[in-house]
Amino acid sequence: MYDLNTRVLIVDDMLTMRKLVQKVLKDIGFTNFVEATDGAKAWEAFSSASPPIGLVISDWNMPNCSGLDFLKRVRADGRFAKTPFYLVTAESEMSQVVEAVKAGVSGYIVKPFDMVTLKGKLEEGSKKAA
Amino acid sequence: MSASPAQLSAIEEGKNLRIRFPTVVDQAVSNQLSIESKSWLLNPCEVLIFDFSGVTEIKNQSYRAFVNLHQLLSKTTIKHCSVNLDPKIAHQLSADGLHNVFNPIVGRSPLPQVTAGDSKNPFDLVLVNSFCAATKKTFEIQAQTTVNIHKPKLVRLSEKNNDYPVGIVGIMNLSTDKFRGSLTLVFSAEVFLKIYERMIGEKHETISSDIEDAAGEILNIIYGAAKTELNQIPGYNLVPILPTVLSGDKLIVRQHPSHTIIQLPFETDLGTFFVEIAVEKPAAVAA
Repeated sequence: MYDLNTRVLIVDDMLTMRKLVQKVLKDIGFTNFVEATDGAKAWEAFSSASPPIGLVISDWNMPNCSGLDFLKRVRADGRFAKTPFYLVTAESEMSQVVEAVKAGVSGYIVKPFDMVTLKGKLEEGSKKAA
Repeated sequence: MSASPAQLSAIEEGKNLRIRFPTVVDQAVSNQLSIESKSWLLNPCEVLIFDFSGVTEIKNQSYRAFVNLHQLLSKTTIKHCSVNLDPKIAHQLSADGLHNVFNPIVGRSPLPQVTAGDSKNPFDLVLVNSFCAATKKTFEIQAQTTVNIHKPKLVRLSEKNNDYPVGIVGIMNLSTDKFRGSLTLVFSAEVFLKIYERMIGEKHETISSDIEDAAGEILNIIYGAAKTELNQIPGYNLVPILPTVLSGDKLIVRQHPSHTIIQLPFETDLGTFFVEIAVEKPAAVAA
């Protein structure tokens, strides 16, 4: 499992979803959060963060810059090749999963989800990365 | 939920054929399935519905017959799905790599009492059941709220009146290869605020712009879950759509005059909310 003190970037254009993801992460034990409302703003926050962001939970469908585009931007920068990056979406079609995996996603979280599901996904992703 | 029949049985429901199974689906049932399915294919229906109400076990030995039938169906225009599957059995089938073979529609509620192919009724069982199951799943997982689905009601626009308080609604247009219409999620302010508090952990006295997007997000999750199920069936092809949210003291939920409406009441310990599915009448779609 990831260090619970790590800074987590939560990206979603919907305030409710940012609050919801943060609530579930708090239930898991995370305490340090940064928020952004789309992929472009997320990249600004992510690339200039100090201390650095250690975990990203991003919505897929957002205006301006989607979660997938943000992921590709992160992975294109060698410094962030291994930063854990999870995409959240309400859809679970295989074509999307394949696209996300090709882009280097650490895990894929389908809404609706609860603490057990999210924790399981994070544990699974951290084991794969180890 | 109705009890299982003593043996495999097939019931015609409009253009669909519903197959009921005994409590345990074993080799004997599998043999019967192999034999009887030949006659179903000779008299084609639109959708073959495997109804697993009351089924407590599907034995591995019966898989072959379902796989064979799935292969035969894939060469025809007949769609198929499984309903009322016990979640443990659904999990077992998924773990055994048989998700596509059974094509389960999530949820066990035997809803609603409407069938596909009824010329007076543009709703089909698979569509409504998918949205019911997705709504139940969304509230149970995302808002930790148990949901009981009451009997759905078909409503004519001339009869439609809001006999329930409306504080906030989320609306989505529905557009598929089969029909056009809309999906509306309706809460009273009181119920919405309680659900929001349980979901997010914040108590609010009124619906403000800070929290009203929750209605859209809940609707978005319901739609996404139903879409995932429905798009596995040829002919639906639901596409991503953004919800619209309206809130206020004097809201009235109206629907388009050319639409037929089904109201789905969902009861929770926090109060009742509604989902309305409105679908263009067949003549309007054809036009």
